[in-house]
Amino acid sequence: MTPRTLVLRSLRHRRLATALSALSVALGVGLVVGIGTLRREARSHFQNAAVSFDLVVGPKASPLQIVLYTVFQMDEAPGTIPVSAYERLRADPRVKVALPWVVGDSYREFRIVGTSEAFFGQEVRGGVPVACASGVPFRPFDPARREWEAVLGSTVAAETGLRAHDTFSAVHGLDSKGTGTEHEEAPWRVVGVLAPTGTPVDRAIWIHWEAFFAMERHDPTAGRGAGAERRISAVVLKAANPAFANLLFFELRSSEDLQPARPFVEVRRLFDIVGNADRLLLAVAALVVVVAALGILVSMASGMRERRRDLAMMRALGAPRRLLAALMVAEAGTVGLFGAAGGWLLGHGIVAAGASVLTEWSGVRVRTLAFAPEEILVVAGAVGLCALAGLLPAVMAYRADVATGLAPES
Amino acid sequence: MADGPAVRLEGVWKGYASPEGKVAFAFRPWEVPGGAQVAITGDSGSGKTTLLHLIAGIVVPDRGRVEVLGLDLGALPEAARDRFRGSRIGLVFQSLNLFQHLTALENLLAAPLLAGKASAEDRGRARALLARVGLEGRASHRPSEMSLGEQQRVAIARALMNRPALLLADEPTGSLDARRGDELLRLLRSSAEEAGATLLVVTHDEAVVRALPQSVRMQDLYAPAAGPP
Repeated sequence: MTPRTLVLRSLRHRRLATALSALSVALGVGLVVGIGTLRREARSHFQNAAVSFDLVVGPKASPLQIVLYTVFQMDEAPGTIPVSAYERLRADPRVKVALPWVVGDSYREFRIVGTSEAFFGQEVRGGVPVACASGVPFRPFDPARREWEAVLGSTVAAETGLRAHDTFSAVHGLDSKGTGTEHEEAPWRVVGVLAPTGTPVDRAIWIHWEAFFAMERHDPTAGRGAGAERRISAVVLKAANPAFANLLFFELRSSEDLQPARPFVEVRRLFDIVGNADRLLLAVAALVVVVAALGILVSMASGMRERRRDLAMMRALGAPRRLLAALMVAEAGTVGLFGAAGGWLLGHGIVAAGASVLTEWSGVRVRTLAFAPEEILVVAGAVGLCALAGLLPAVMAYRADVATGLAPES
Repeated sequence: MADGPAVRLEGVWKGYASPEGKVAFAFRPWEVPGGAQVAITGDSGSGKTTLLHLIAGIVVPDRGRVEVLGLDLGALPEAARDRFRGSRIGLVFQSLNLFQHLTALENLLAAPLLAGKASAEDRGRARALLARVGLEGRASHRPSEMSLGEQQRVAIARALMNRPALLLADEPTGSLDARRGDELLRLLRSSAEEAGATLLVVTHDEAVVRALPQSVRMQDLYAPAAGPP
């Protein structure tokens, strides 16, 4: 028999109150852990994708929008830039690799992105190369043969069921519901499926950019008339070194018709903006824990009357006042521990259960077993808070009068 | 067994507020020899429980001395009184004697734990005491699974856990029928004898008074000047 046994037996005796209190703590901690995990995973997802390329060059628009519609397959392209900009950048010795980027078609909810064959082998997300898990990369488009070759990102293949040698018809436009007009003239043939990269690359269909121009209703001059220079949505590039990336950024910033954007910087800026919102969510979740701790306080304090006989008997058996107070704090802390441990499991359980839905909905890949050291602080904080909530009952137990407690109930 | 008196009252005066107003008890000098078995009898409200609480060190006198096993309880700090009570005095109450959330065995083990003298031998001693009161088969039962008589026997076993030199019982048979009350009293007496402990039983039950070798009426304990409340 130890004081811990006394605490556990007492909690078991009041199992309904204990369970309800622990459940409310669990909900709060679960929310904090769940929101924290999603927040961390979303940041990690965006940042991993953002470091894939040093610079994106698009038409004059918000740099964030340029990054969103290229690197993250989100948002609309606000305009086009001349192909000569791509050629100039490709020839620049400070540029390691430059990829043309053309968007405008889709298949189901997935975007079709036209780029060059240099896309394959590029490292994204800290060294993961873009490579086919099955099949082969598309070949440069040959206008004479007019072979419409497409390579699917891993998520596209998984969700559409398309495999190498399958064909599909693209839809004109980026309507996520796929309600645009079909390109009946170009039945795309799947030639390869990419290995998963954990980036938005997985959620796109990749074609050769020249093939994009060859399709009907795709005006390479973007309405500038016959003979005008062809135009693309953007150029995505990696610089030979970080210093060159900065140099290029500042040079291009002064251009009249080009807008450079640094994905990593834009993502950081984006999270600075949305950071307030998720801090608010975390604050609400933390408030739930505080309310749960107050619930423990109320439950214990209101139960003190029915415990006065037990407390008096303990004193009569020689227990010092401070032991009774310590038992109260330990009881509240133990409820907090059960609740916090349950909440931790609940938070990760909910994230695990909702991971696939979340990925489908937002493209953010959530690692279900992503644990962060700060979760230990969350659990310890909740236990500490609940133990604090035990202080008032502890004071009441400390001050309990033995003689009154031993008197028969009137 | 102590050489001197187990209990000695000297000029004790204790007042407290009750629903009926201010109540005060003044006791004449009184000694209980070590090893004695004494019934303290009196009507309701005559101060029996107050006297028991004074002797147990649960309350201290406003004036005078309560010496128990040679120690002036009023002179001890509260923590020291708690330790003394836990280790030297065994208490049995009228009813609701046990912790309802603990088994019979755990109720016994709680005594040394709360008195701060838990040891590895406690479990063996607790089982032996449960066997002594005829409840070896009820060790894992909670109070709600036992009869009132069984609960009182567990309470006696618990009072003996810390090898007390003084056993105090407050109406121990009050919630039992005559036969069970008689059995319990015999158990209480024999347990006190085996432990070499002094036994004081507060009661208003004449059968208990008759069963114990000595008895004292509360009105005989009042100081002449004060009289009954």
